[in-house]
Amino acid sequence: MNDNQKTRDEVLAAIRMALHDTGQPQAVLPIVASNLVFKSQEEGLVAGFTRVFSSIDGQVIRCENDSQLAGELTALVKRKGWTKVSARSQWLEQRRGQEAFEWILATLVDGDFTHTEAGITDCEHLVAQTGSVVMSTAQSAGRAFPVYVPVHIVIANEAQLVYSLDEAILQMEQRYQGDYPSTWYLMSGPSRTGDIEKTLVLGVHGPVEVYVFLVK
Amino acid sequence: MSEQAKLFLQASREKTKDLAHRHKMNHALKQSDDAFEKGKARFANLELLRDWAHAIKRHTIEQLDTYLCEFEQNFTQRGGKVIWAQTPKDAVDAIKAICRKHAAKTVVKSKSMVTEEIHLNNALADADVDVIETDLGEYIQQLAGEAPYHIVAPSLHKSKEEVAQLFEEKLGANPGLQPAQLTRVARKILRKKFSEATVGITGVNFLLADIGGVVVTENEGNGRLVTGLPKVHIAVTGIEKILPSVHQLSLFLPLLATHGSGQQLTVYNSIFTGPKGAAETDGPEEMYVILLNNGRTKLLADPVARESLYCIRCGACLNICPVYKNIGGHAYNATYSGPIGAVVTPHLQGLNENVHLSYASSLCGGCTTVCPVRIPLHNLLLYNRQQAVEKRCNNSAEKAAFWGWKQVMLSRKLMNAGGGNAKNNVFAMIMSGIWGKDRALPVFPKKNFSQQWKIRKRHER
Repeated sequence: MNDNQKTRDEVLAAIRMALHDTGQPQAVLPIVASNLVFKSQEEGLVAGFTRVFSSIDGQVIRCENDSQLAGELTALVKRKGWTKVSARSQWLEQRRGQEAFEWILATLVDGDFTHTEAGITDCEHLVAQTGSVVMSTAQSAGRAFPVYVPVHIVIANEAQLVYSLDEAILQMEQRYQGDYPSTWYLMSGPSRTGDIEKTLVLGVHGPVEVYVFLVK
Repeated sequence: MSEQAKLFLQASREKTKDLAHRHKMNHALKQSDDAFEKGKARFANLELLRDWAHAIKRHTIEQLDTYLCEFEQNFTQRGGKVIWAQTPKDAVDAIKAICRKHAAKTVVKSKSMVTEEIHLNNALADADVDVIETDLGEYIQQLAGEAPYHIVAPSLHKSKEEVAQLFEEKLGANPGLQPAQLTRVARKILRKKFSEATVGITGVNFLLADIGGVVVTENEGNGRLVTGLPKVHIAVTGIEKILPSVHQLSLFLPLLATHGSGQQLTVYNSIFTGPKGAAETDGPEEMYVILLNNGRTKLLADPVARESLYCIRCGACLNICPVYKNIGGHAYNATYSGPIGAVVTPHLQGLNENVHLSYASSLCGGCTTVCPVRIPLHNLLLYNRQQAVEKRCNNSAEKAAFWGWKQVMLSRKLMNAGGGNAKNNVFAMIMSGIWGKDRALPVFPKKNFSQQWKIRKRHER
């Protein structure tokens, strides 16, 4: 570690030497008006998120209430014929004992997710303008699970919607007060690549399909 | 002429004539261009955003020491370790030591140009560590034993048939697979590697001083798995990749994504602030950030060339460059190709051997007009040329030619001397070698400008 200290001093000394001189006034850090980054669309948060998220191959399923969500989720799992569905979701856990969720909760497989067909998680926020889901390792989903599973199902409610990326960052800052989770990330649609002749292929290393169940 | 320059000329000559290569490049870059145009339309005022981005980078680079120390303090506080490296060897040694400590046999990597710069893969292979590139494009390049062709799209010069053949030869895949099927093959093989690997190595798109964060942006999800499954995460970065605050991501992430691939945001944008927290589900036990200098302070010491350190490696200047389009990424024989490569390589790897890259430009200025952080790229190319002349890196033939040019240009008499035929002969004699045999020499008219002008004036009267 001593060597590292020495190299550190060398690099910093080289930087300071290099910056020593210019004679020009130093640049002031501009304040970015983040609402001026993208053109604004005259639409609500829900409509905005749905439009953008769909345009990047994600799917949004709107639900009036919890029991409609349970119904939609059950229907999806049955329609796809999934037998290995896992969940790392506080939201779902809290609905244990509710009749509407009985079937879906009973279907869930615990533990190792190597063979999971679909994984259900919560999220921190949804960003309407960019169609992004904000997640963090403060939630039980952790790092690998949501990206390892071939189908990712996110449960969110409309109160979690924010307009812009900057708003999401502000919210995270306020929530964690400097004590950040070791990772927080934005996920905007299913995994994709254009590395072979620019042909779009979904589901490279991450999910092929991403669903957001959005409850009122 | 340096050896490097000779190799460059030879490689460019071959590629320019290679019609199949041109076809593939045009196809790929046309798609990038269309996506970029579409993406650009989403911005409220791109010119304003470029001003902001430029000003933020300028401010940050002028206070690089302060922001790096702030980053170090915040990142260390949260359990991460910062390793400083002056040279590629420092960085490679540190990574090898970490691999040894954890008895790592397999290392998975997500896309990183800095690790290309320090030739990490070869060094680890020599130390008996199996390094696997996991970005699909990089994986293709690794299988082919080639360096990346483009800083954002490493395998853009390969047709799907070539990739299918490569997968058949190297992986025993069925012949004639389509892109989606090829991707499945890679997914299956790499899944196993992610789980086996002890160490995951990523590049860095941005360092965030205020929260001690490391930002990695990608589309495939390999970056997420590289940082999610292995026991150790090492992030390697140049010292210039820093931003003062996490809040600036709301500007820089859209700029990077749109200029890189035409997307509003890339699919995965992750901020890492350290190893797995005590209450967290999973994640690496240790996280390291390696801060590499490798000549960057040389660029920093030059108040003009310094601006090239603002680069966020989006690749937009490569996509628009007529030279890159025609000669491709390998002709440059440098880690960073295209206009930004031509600007920084002479500073990072020696002016004498690499100044020819600064001449590999039509000075059309396309790169400058497209750069999201407003680096005046073509001006910097001219600046490099000027430096080369000042440091006497130019050869005597060039000096003689410019002396002659100056004499002629300063004298109306000399300029008017000789008829059109004489000029054509002299021009052909001097220029035909440089002009090349694949395009026609320009032809001087019989009458020179003064004569034509006089005739015209007479007619007007």
